[in-house]
Amino acid sequence: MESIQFQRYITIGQYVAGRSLIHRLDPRTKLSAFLFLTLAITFSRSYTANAILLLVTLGLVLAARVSIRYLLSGLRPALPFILLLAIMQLLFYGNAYVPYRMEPVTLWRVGWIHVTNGSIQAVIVSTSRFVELLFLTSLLTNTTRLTDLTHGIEAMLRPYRRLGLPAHELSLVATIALRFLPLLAEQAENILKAQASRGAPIAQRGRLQFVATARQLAVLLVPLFVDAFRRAEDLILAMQARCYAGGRGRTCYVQLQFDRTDALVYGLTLVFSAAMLVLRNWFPI
Amino acid sequence: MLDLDGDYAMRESSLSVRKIVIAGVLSAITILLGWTRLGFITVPSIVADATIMHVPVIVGGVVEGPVVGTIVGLIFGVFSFIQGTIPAFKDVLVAILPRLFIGITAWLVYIALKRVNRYAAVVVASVVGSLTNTVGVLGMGVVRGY
Amino acid sequence: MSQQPMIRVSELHFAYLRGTPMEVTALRGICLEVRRGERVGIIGRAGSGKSTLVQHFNGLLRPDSTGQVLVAGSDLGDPATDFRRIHQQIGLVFQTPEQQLFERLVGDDIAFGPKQLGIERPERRERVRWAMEMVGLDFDAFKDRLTLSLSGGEMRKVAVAGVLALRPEVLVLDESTSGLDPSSRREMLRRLDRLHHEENTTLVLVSSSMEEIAEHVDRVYVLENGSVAMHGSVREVFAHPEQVRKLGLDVPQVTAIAHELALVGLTDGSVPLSVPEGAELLLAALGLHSAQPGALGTGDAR
Repeated sequence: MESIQFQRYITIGQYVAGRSLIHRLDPRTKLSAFLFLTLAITFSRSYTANAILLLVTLGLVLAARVSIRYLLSGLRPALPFILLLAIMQLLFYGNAYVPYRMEPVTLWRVGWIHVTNGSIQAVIVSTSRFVELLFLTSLLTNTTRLTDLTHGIEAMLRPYRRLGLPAHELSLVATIALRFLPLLAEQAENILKAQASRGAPIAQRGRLQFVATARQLAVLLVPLFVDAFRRAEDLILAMQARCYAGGRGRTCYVQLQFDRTDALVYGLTLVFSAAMLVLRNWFPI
Repeated sequence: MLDLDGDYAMRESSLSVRKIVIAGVLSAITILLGWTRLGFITVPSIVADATIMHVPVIVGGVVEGPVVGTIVGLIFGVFSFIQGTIPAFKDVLVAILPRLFIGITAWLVYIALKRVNRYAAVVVASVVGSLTNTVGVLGMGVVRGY
Repeated sequence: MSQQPMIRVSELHFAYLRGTPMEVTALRGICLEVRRGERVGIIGRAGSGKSTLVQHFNGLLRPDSTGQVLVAGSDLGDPATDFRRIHQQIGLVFQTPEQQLFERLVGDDIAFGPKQLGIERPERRERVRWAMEMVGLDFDAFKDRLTLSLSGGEMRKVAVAGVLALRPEVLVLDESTSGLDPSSRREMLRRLDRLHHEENTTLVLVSSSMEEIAEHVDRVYVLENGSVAMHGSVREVFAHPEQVRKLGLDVPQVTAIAHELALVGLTDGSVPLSVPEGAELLLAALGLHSAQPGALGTGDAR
């Protein structure tokens, strides 16, 4: 059992200060770029496309000057599950995947086990997609302050206000969620430590944990929910005391600046992602 | 508990202060549960799912109503999409769409049964919510050919 | 008192989030000992590493590569150690322990620890009864109360009882009186003294309140920035108030006054820790004798 430290694993939501190119972009640019790239990643099935996307992602990580080690640590909690699923996919999904640009070839077949070049491809592509998305998501939050992020979301959603979308309120929900995440992580850590000290069977986390019963989870979830609701009540009271009245007619002190670099990055990612999508069936392998 | 919701401009918004904050906090819990993989029950099958990540969604639906339930469900879905390690979860229709309904179904069941027995209403609402999640996701998975 | 110390810490280093951009060193080369039956205080200002240190005592945190933590002979750096047993031997009560309550009924929550230890129902019940008595909660009145319906102070008692029910040999309390009103605070400390007296439970009190520490522990370690800045018996440490103050803490008022008086040669320099002792000292200095020892300590209702 390793020391229980959750904050290590919350790489999403943690702003890591810096002055890189990426840090300085308008949040709307980053959000849009994130969306475009996500689309491209989601629909790319070939090895080549994924290799390109992986390189692009790594390039962005370097441009942002965030340590790769740090991003990889966010991968750690998921590892056993990724491995398990990868093995499952590899061994049992032979039928399900028609490989890209290849004739389906059965490489090994024993009983239920059916490994094809299709399942191999599926595993590799899934894993690389996962890593790419993980990095991009972490990058987004690591290089953008939360307030900027939500200003960006709100600004982008504002045009839809006429259709009844409460843009400001929704972005506030997101702000609150992101703000509470590290707090709740710390609280969860404290609760687990206290329960472990009482002998609760927490964490044999190195190995695969197949079944966590409802009882085992209750020792964490009940106090966590109680604490979360208590904080929520405090926040509600504070907001009401400040006469928070929703987003209608609300002005903002911070004005976002969309400059030439932003336009450039926006344009590049848009074109790149569009190209990847349009050409997705044209890659050789 | 002070509740000024009905008294001023907030009435025009579908989201009161209370709903905003609770939606935010429950979303945070959802993300926390998913990200730290707490209580991830993996049963080797086509759909390996987090079986407690939908609890905050149900809580949101029962306690604060369908709007909050849908929002938290959306966060659950988006998160599941971002995190999904199998192809089925990389599909928006499988990961996100069914999750939007968890809060609504839980809420509907709760208000329907609440007069009969509050405690039972909560339990049944939770079950229905969980079912919405499982059936919805599996169903969409099948429909989409996974 | 047995030969081997219950807890021995040598050259303990620890950093949070090691290997990430947010790494922060919490402990630097701590050396510390707690012997069986002792009452030890750990004091220091906020951020000095107190909580981090005590979480090593029961194995929640493990030492970094250097450093060693020995508890009742077991090396906590060794992964083969039976940590369940360590959790039972060293009972750790966290700051605001109310946050650990999760069972619907008070009795069930307190019984959680013993249940995890595999103790059967009849004995469990006895333990719960004993633990509740120790913290001052009437067994019959409280065992079936809803945990979340209690007042803050009562919830805290339930939480402490939950740890006591494990019957630990060492009880470590991390700022367990914080947030309590003065009389509840006194009550808790009194009960801890009783526990120590009746069961010979070793006590480790983490606090930033001097008055509390002074009268309820025998030895004290003062932490500053992750290392031990001062240590010794309470009187030894408090004989140097300027040094204590430099570490962001303070000595009991009575001690400070006596120190000032000693500087001008009015007293013999002995270190009083409580008001009665201070009064004694003052009277002696003025050449008077008190009617009975402790008679002048009326401000303090014990």
